[in-house]
Amino acid sequence: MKNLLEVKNLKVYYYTREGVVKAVDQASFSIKKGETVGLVGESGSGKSTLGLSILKLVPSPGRIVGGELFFDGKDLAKLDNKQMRKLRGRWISMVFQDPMASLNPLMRVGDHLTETIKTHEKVTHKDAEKRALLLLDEVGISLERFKDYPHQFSGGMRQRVGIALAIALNPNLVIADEFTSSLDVIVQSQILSLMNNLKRSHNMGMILISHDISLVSEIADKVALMYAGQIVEFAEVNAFFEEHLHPYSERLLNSVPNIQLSDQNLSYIPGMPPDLIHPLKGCRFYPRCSYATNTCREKEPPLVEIETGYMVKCFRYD
Amino acid sequence: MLGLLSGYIGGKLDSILSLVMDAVYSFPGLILAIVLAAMLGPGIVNTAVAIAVIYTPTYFRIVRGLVLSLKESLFVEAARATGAKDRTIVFKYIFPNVLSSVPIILSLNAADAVLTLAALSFLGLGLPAPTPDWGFDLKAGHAYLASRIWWPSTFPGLLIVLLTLGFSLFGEGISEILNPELRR
Amino acid sequence: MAVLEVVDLKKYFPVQKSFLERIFTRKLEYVQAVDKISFKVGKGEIFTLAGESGCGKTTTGRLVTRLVEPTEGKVFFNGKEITSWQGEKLRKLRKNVQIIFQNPYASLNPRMKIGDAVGHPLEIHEIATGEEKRGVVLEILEQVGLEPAEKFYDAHPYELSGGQRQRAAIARAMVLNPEFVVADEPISMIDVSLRAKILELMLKLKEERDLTFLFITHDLAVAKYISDWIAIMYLGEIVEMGKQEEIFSNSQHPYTKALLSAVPVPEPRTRREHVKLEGEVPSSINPPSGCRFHPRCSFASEKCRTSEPPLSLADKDHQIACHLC
Repeated sequence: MKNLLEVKNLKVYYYTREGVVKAVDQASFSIKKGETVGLVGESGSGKSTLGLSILKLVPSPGRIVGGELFFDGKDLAKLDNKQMRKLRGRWISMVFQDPMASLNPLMRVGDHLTETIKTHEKVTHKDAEKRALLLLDEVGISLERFKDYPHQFSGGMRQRVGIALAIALNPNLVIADEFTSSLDVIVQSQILSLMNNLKRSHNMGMILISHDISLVSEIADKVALMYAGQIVEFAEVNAFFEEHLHPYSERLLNSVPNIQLSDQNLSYIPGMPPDLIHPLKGCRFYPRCSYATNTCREKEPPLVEIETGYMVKCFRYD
Repeated sequence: MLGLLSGYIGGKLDSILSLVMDAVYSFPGLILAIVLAAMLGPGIVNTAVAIAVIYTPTYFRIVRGLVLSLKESLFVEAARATGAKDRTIVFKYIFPNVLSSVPIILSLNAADAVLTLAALSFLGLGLPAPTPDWGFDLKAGHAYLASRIWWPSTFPGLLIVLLTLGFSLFGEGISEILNPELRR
Repeated sequence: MAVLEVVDLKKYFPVQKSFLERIFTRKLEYVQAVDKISFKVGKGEIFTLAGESGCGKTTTGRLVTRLVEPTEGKVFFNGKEITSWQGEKLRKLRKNVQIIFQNPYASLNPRMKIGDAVGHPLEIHEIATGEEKRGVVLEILEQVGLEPAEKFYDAHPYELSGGQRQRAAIARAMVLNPEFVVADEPISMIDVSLRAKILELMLKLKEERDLTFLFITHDLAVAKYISDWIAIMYLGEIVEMGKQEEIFSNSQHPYTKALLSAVPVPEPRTRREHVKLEGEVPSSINPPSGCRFHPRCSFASEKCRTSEPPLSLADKDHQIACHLC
């Protein structure tokens, strides 16, 4: 099956007063239709920037400075704003952490959905409204709430509205950026289950951006782990959790508490988070890696394909 | 000062002071200044007093607002949790943080005050004749405009604008020094 | 004797109404944040209050440290009732009862150097000043891992990372040598790979100083890792309470079961069905009648709708508030 989205050596830099922040510095991964890829990383890893750059929504002073973004064969990096606007919402859409950010507080929720549909498709107002109602039903909101305003909804319900907006036009790809981080664990479980069902019924690809690797293990098909602006490991989910080949993956998994284990030995990663303005010339994980060698300090590790579909950026596997 | 106390203690004192301040505030500043200056008569001190009175409410409201929000902040709660007395909290925790926001207001107001002073002098109510004053200059120049001699009018005006700008930048500069985190 | 004992503790917050609302509605409404809870914490224990947002756990933490006044109920510290202590007596208590807050970016005064902030409690309680104070602070900064201590003494909060700030906050809490520490979500705003470092520090300090902790969290995986005892809260009440091993392996309350099953596990092969729970936590202004969980409970009976179940002993070291268990 052809790739729905292919990110190749993407570079996104922020030009700030303090210097150039290399938020994403040569990241590569791919996703097929109907697949869920979990993009995992801690704060500063570049995962949110990567997500935004797919929709070319990186805020100033950020810019895409290199690499390729192939969506259905087209290189998004070369499209201008007008062309991107046609894509956004219709072919690729986004769900944010804070649902209020995407909802107009002065607009009734049903109207917002209706308008979104009408903007991208030539349908009558009546038809658009009918579809909006169906959408609310699909995401589990009772239809009488069509005329409610965003502030009248609870956090979980608002997130459902955000999801409804994101799938309204049947996009091929949905990017969800920490979209359950502000929710309690039970509501999170409901929303994840909803997304899973929607993904299957709409045959969408999904990029789930999260700092929570346990969350990703619950619904992702593939995992892409980011560190210092690069994707250091990209593999099918079961393989990732079994092998965790990259030293960072190993350390990260050891620092996550597992509710099913007793007597866990939690560890942490020593050292400081990476400097994105002055990245190291060799491997960026070098100062915190227990397997580090001199080569690691001098040269950047290559992205090695261990087996089909399993990539690791580390000299140990070269 | 009043703002600090009022904001922190709250309650009745707060309500009364706020009302008084609001009353003074609602008067259009310039008119009040004119009235006061006329009442007090010309002279540097009197003019200064007149201007000071109009600007007190502005400071009061802003400081009070800041104090109210700071009162709820987590590090103040933390201080209370370690047993700090109210007096300590006001002076060591709230005051320094209020102080860092003051320069910007100060600069805006300074600029405004200069303008008011200029206006007063223009109307003849400010400083007495021999004292150099741009407002006075403007007025004097005003008479010449008819004869197309434009420079006595323009230059003082231009300088007032520049001074205002200067004050604003000065205020921002001080603010940045006091608030190093703003630099990031 | 328990270090901390709480009996029928209640906290109702009046709902802020707008001016017009106050004219037209005479009725006063309250957010029933904490509604009659009782528990004991023994010396050297880590007692965790766990639950989702709005369950009352954070408010309980504030009540126990008297940063918030209880509406009703009693708080006992080492056998003495501290519920209505005021003024000097309360300030002196603070030497023994400290709190670590969730947000390391807001709990430190941005205008104060770290050394001054950590040393300030020593001045307040007239324990040490000047050089002596500096000595104590430098030692504590080393103990929490902020080294070289001199450098961190003179730094301001904005120069430190989140993890470092939290360690400074911990240092401040430790400087008075308290007996009892409330830790309110101390790691939820720290990066995942560094959380264990803060937990390890807390456990180390607990051993060295013989501390007792009240740990508040919404993260049940962390709760399991660190607790000796745990109380699950829902809508202002404790629904299940007991020894950590008991509760996690043998939970009986329908809410606890749903909650535990919803927690993500970093093991894709064990993808299991979460216990399906509909709806969301209702408002604590008008909580449901009887058992507060009954509208979402698949086993709810008539009794559950009408009467509130008391917290009673189900097993050794295991209490539960449910009519059907």
